[in-house]
Amino acid sequence: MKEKISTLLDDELDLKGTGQAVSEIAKDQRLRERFETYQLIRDSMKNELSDATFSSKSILDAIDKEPIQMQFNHSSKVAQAMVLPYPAWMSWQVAASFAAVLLIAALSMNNSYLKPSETFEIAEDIPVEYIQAHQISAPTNVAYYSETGTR
Amino acid sequence: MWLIIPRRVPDNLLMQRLLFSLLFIFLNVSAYALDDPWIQIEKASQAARQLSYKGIFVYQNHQEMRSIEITHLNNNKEEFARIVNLDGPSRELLSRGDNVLVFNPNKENVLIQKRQGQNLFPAILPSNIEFVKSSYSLRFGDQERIGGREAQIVYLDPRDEYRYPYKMWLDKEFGLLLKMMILDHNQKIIEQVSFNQISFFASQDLNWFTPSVDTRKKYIMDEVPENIVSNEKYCVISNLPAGFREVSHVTRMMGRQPQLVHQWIFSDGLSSVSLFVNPIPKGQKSKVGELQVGSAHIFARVMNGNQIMVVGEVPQATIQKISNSIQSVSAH
Amino acid sequence: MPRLNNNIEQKKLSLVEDKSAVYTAGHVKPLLSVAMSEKIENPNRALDQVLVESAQKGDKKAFGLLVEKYHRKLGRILTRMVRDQTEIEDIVQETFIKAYRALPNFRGDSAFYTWLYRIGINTAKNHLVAMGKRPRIMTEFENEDGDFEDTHQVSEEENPETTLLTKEIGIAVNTAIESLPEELKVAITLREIEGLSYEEIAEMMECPIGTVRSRIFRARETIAEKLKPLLSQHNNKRW
Repeated sequence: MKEKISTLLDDELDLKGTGQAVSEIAKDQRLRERFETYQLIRDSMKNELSDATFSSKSILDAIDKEPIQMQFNHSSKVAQAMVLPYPAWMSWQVAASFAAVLLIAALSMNNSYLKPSETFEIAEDIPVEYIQAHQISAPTNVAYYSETGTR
Repeated sequence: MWLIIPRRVPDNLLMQRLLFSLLFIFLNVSAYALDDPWIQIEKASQAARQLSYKGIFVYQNHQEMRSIEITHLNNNKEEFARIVNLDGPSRELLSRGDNVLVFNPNKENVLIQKRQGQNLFPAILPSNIEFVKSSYSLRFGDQERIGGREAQIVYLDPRDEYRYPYKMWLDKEFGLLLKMMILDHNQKIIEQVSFNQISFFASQDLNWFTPSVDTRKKYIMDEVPENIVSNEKYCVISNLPAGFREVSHVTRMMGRQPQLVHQWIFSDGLSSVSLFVNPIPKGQKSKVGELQVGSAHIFARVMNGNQIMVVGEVPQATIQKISNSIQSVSAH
Repeated sequence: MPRLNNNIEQKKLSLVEDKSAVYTAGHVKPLLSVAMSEKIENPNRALDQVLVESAQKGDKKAFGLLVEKYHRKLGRILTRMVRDQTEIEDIVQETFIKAYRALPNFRGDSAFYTWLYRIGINTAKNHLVAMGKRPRIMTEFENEDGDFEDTHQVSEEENPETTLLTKEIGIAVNTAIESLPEELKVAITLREIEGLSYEEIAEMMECPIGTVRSRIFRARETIAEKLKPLLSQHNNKRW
């Protein structure tokens, strides 16, 4: 694998191999260090060393703090809206609710629960938000894919 | 640092993966339905997460039908999925590990919503099948072709009246759940999900992992407050139906005039039920009664000034029992 | 600077001078000259392309590898504009941040480095203007359009200041190369200084490409070993 890093740096792997090697480096800190060292050797041989740019750490730290940039197929206007503010590497820290919708279907009523006017029969006023909340958060829910009309 | 432990990935991942590969070898060598048939279920549970596949499946209940396209990839590091609604509004979901992003277009905008990971078809089986074993018994049926692939029919028969029977079609080669039916006690189909076409792939290319973007619309992040995991002993719950155990307890803001609601989720491994409890604000009407909406049963009652609502794809008897399991809830 | 094996240096010069020459004897095929000119125009497109596309999908580590590849090279170029070393670090960092933010707009029509370079030049210019200084040798930079594989342009007076440690690393690398077995030294030199591809080096050294790959790898490993103590010392100093 180390030799692959050397070949990668020379851009002598085919496209597939390049992709694989890049993924490998992402997983393995030691491979990444190899890459850095080989690049350092190259820069040294080409006389591009300088104190100011010796270490990439501060640049990498700064990039780390940036929101993740993702490109989609079309305009940058969209990409702007897509920026998710989160500092960690390679992560989408996301959690929220999704408005699933349910189609209103068969009804059944139980008259023994009829109460004076301070209560609603749920058959008359379907508690859609509870149904939605259940569908969003239940760990196994095939009904995720069904839809309701909007209210 | 990436410190979140994904809910969908089994604890002891390495053991699970080893088990999976061992199972795979084992099952290719041994005859079907010998020894422990539950291995098939275990394999199905793993397959949905471990494999990379792409296909179209159809969801149906007795009111409607919906086609969904799914692409799922596991590169041995993370799971990626893209799920696209093919009928009706072009909603899509992108997930990476436990992080989910949903794109919800309306006429002018696209609303982007973040979400916790959820087990969606075909990954509906829990990682711990011991859970399921206690509530269901297993038997094998015939073999059928689903989505162009040979599948083994497996029945999960409930051990009591508190849950519905499941009928599953598992891919013979990889074990993946290809089709699933939930039946009621009269053997009528409540819900069905089935692949029409599916293919497995090994490529690690992630070019598909991007939403299709409509440049004419504005994209807006939906700012919805997160649910908070709650440890509060809000009420006493006991005597749940057999096999159901609590899998989560959160508080969330709900309703037209948002108020704080406690939500418990109980599951027997396959079906799940949500219990909502919240104090009824002054001047607001409470809800009572019994209802079936699509495949969900709902039951509502009032206790000590609190609204209790139970929702789940389980028999009404189960809903009732869970509703009754609240022994006391203080007047809040 | 390691001295090239005379043989090869001569051949290289001939190639540069007369691209259509036909070589009857020796190690070089005539096609090589064409291959070389193409190589200089489009080096490193596949790797950069993969890294850029990966970064555009949200992979920050891929962008980090681009940083690793180019941050020193960029620094050296910008030094010619901005004499003050303390500012170079900031400008390079700012350039990469700008590049990262603009990444969704990068379409891959040009090489990544060319695009990065232009951002760097503008950043440096703005920096100088903000500091009330006139950027030096501006016209030279305005016109520079292509890649900076200008290995021949290295000259002593352009060397940026370095601390003793950085100088030590430069010396250590040179020393390590000098003490390499001949075939490893030639291979790594042709690769890094001359910028030749594996195929070209294989032609020159009359050996299979696999051997070239292996020699370059072994050369790097040997040098890396010798750098280890220096680098760990550097790490201790910095962090």
